[in-house]
Parts: sequence; C-alpha cells; structure tokens
Amino acid sequence: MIILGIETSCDETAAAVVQDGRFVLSNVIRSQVDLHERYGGVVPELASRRHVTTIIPVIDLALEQAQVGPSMLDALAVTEGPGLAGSLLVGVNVAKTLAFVWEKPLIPVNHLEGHIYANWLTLPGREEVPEPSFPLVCLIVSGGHTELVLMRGHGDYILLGRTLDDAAGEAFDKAARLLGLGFPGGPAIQKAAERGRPGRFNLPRAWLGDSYDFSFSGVKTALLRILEQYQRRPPRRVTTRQPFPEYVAPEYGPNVPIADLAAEFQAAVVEVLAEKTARAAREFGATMVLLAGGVAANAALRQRLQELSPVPVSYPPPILCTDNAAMIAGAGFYLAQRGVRAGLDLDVHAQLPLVTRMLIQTTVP
Amino acid sequence: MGQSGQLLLALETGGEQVAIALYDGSVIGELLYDAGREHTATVLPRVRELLTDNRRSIRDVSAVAVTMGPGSFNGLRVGMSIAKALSYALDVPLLGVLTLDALAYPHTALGYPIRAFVSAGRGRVVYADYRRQGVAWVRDSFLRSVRIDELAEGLISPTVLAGTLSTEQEQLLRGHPAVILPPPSLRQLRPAWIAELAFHRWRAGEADPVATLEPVYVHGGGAEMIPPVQLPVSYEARSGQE
Ligand SMILES: [Zn+2]
Repeated sequence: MIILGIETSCDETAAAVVQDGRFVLSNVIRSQVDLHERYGGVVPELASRRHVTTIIPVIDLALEQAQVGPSMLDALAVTEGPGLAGSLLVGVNVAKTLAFVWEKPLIPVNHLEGHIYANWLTLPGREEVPEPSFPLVCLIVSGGHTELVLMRGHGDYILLGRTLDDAAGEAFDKAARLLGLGFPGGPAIQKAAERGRPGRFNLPRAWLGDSYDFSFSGVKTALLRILEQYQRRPPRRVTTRQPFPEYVAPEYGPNVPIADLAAEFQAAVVEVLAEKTARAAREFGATMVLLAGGVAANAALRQRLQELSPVPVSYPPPILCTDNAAMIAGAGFYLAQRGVRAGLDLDVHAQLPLVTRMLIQTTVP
Repeated sequence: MGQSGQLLLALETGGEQVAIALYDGSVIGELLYDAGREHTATVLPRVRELLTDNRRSIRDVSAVAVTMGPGSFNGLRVGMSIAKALSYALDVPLLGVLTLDALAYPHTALGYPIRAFVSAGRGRVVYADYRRQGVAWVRDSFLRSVRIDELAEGLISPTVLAGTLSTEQEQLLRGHPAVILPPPSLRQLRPAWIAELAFHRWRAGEADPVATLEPVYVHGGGAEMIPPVQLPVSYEARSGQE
C-alpha cells in the first residue's frame, strides 16, 4: 500500500511517499528555520504564509523522487492536528483536494501518532529497521510536545503524563534565547553544553512527586535569575517596518558562563525526561522504549535514557525525528488498516489530543 | 455561449461569505453562503455539491480562479490551498483575482470613480480606488487599511462605494456628499464577478504561478502597493467597441 503523506502542522512543509507503513520511498522537508531565526521562535502567521508557497513544489518533488504517479497511490494521509491552525489548514485543504481529484481515500493523522510511527520507518538504502514490539513506552519530545505514552498495540495508547507548561523543545528554545544561542534552541544548547560542565550551577529538577507529568517553567525561571546577575541589557523585541517584532538577544558581561549554564540546563531537562521514562518502562513491563520528536535527536537524552532504561531504547534517524511527512504516511498505513477515513469535510484540530478514546491515567492496568 | 473545455471554477474564501462559481462564458452555477469560520470543513463539500447540481464533474474543470484578498488571512489560505491543489492535480491554469477588483467590476457601468473595500475586522476596512481612463477602468492606488469611519475621507467628486456595510455604517456614510451607495445586493461580492474577471484573463492566455501565488496580506493601519491593473472587462467600454 503506497501512501502520500502531507505535514504542515508547524514550521516544516513536508511531503513523503511511504510503502506499507515501513519503507520510505521519498521524504521531502522544506525547513523554515531561516524565516523564523530572527524572531527567536516560530511566528505562526509567517509559518502559515510560507506553507502556501512551498506546499505544491514539495508534494511534486516527493512524488517525483519516489517515482510514483498519482495513479499509483493507494491513499493520502494528512496531519489534522495538533498544531498551528493557520499552518494545518494548508496541508488539510491541499490533501483533501488532491484526494478528491485523484479519487483516493484520505486518512487523518494525529501529529503525535506520526512521531511515534517514525520508529517503524526504514529510509531508502538503509538496513531494514526491526518492527517495534508491544507493550512499549514512548517519550514524544518536541518544540510543541512532551508526552509519555504507553502503547500496547497499534492505535492503543494510554497517556501516562505530559508537560504541565512548556514543552521540552520549547524550554530549550527559551533557554537558548536567554543564553543568546540562537534558534532552534535544542541543537544550539547541545553544542554549547559540549564545552561546559553541568553541576557548577544548580538548576532545579521538577519531579512532581510520583506523577509522570513534566514541568519545565521552573528550570527556565531559575536560569533567568542566574543570568540576570550578568546582564547588561535585557532581551528586547524590536519592530522595524515589519509587523512582526524581531528578537534581540540580551547582552552580558564578559564572565558569563554560557557553556556551563547550557550544560546544566540540558542536564536538568534530560534527567527528568530520562528518569520518568525509565520508571514507566519498569512499572508497565515495557519490552522497549521509543523516543520520538525533534528533541529525540538530543545526544544527552539518548545517552541518559540508555543508561537508565531496563529495556532497549530505540529512536529514529535525525531526519525522521524532526517534523516530516514520512511519519504521517507511516501512521496513516496503520490507521487505514483499521478503516480510519476522512471525508471532504475534514477540519483542522489545533488542540487534538493523542488519546481520544480514554484520557484517564488511573485506569492503567 | 459556453463551450466544452472552457469550464472555470472560481473561489472566494476571504470573508465569512464564501463564493463559488462555475463559468464558461456565461454563468453555469453560483453558490454564496455564510461559512462563519468553518471554511476548511465546508468549502470542498460545497464545490462538489455545486458541480453535481450542475451535472459536471471536477474533471470537467479546465481553469481555476481564486481571490487573493484582502480578507481574513486564514480564510484566504483555505481558498488558495484548494485552488492550487486543483490546478496542480488537474493540470489546469490558476488565476488569482484581487477581491477588490471583483467588487468594483459591476459598477464600471455607472461611469463614476469607484472605491472598493473589504472588511478587515476590528472596525477596519481595506480599500482601493478605481477610475476611468479613456474607455478602460484602472486601479492604480495602494491598498489602504483605514478605520471604517475614514472610508470616505478625501472623496470630493461623487464616488461609488463598493463593499458590504452594516446598517449603522451605511447611515454614517450616506450623509457624505460625495458618496454613492448602490443597493446592498449590488455591493456584496457575487461569485460570477470573480469568475468573469478570471475568465477574461484566461482566454487571453494569462495564468499565475501555482507554486508562488499568495494572498495579499494587508495589516491594520498599513498599505500595500499592488501593481496597477486595468480591469479586463468594462462592459460599457466593450459595448462601445463591439
Ligand atoms: Zn512535531
């Protein structure tokens, strides 16, 4: 079964062709990092605008690289949410229209479910990735999400915990802004942390008791307090002729320990993520742990989780960790097996939760 | 008048009123409905419905027109996304129409200058001016964003206002000595006006780039310079020529 996936939930315009939910035939991603850099984060309106002018070339390239014509497609899959409404609607309307003209079934995919299913994918020319086994625990960490999920079978999710405030990737972005390290924050902090030493400063870990929930606003505030001592000029937003204010990084004195602070911040975030994920794997008898989402590319997180986890840890290659459409086409295959279909009235759902059947964690077996 | 292979589908989704037209040299079918904010969920089902009602299939469409705004940014993106995907999947030309041009178009018959406007939310409108130049009509002004009570400012000679107003706003503007207000149904954007403007360009061999065509984004208090244009059809001018 050959599926064309389309993904426009945030700041990547992506299209991909995937066979049987397992084999990536093409995976085209147009990143918008260059566009959002000077704003210090994703500007939703600008992201939506960029999707409008990149979506058709991206789809065309994905089909061309896969050497698949519309008639060879068995279905289309598209991200319906969660994400930025103005961005999602570009992908959803384009996908619905293509499905209408080409007379193909359309499969609506939850973006988070897509991230999980990136772990089922094998890139072209690579050794076949073994199929993950159930039950498993998956940590989805990205700029928009931090969710810890127990998965007992295809489409069978129990949400164990989630962030109560900032997503992990968002916390990295905000910390990178404070540290003047640029956007996106995750890779920038990881790079700076390589030169630094965690433990020289003490940033708090939010354990939140026995809960599997997360919180990253405290550690960000603690970082801000330390940095204020060195600050010569606070960060600013400037509006030139643009309707969108640009971000100007703070200025610090010469002795500001950027690398040590970056290392400690990364350690504080990674420690909580890895510890809770490993604990969930033990408690629920998982056969493996999966990482998913943009922050899954963080080397410190991978390493710490491998140290703590009682079972093997698996994660997708970096190109499938960040937002992409191969994961949407992949998840779409397993949804199609269960008869999931959308009509031309499919709408976007900016706040779509992963687990729509049950959200109550107290019913965990 | 219509010929096979000449079916144009036109879409406008920049406001709460969604407009869809099928046109092949004359109007085949039109649909105007209040979508509220449900554009993504409702536009494509209505396109299919209009085609079915008129015994046409999507495969019969041989050109696609879409309004470029001004209007609601997200609303415009719905129409733009659908129109681009139609153009790509059907491999037919795409034509962008400035919403203000379509609003001004039917009033060229009167001979007065025209100020066409659309609501930009929060008490603001975006407008452009149209004037007669010989036998043709041209838009050569900026698109300006102003408060609705500033809409008639600077008008000296009698000018037709083309656009939708609330009763209250209408009262406000009626008192202005230079304002000509046609009846509301003539000031509300009709699907066929968009189709007809685009049809003329299409038959003249024009088309817009599918990848890069984008809506016109006019911010509150701002002004956008859009290249001047000559309205493709002034029926007064045409009747004088033909
Ligand atoms: Zn994501």
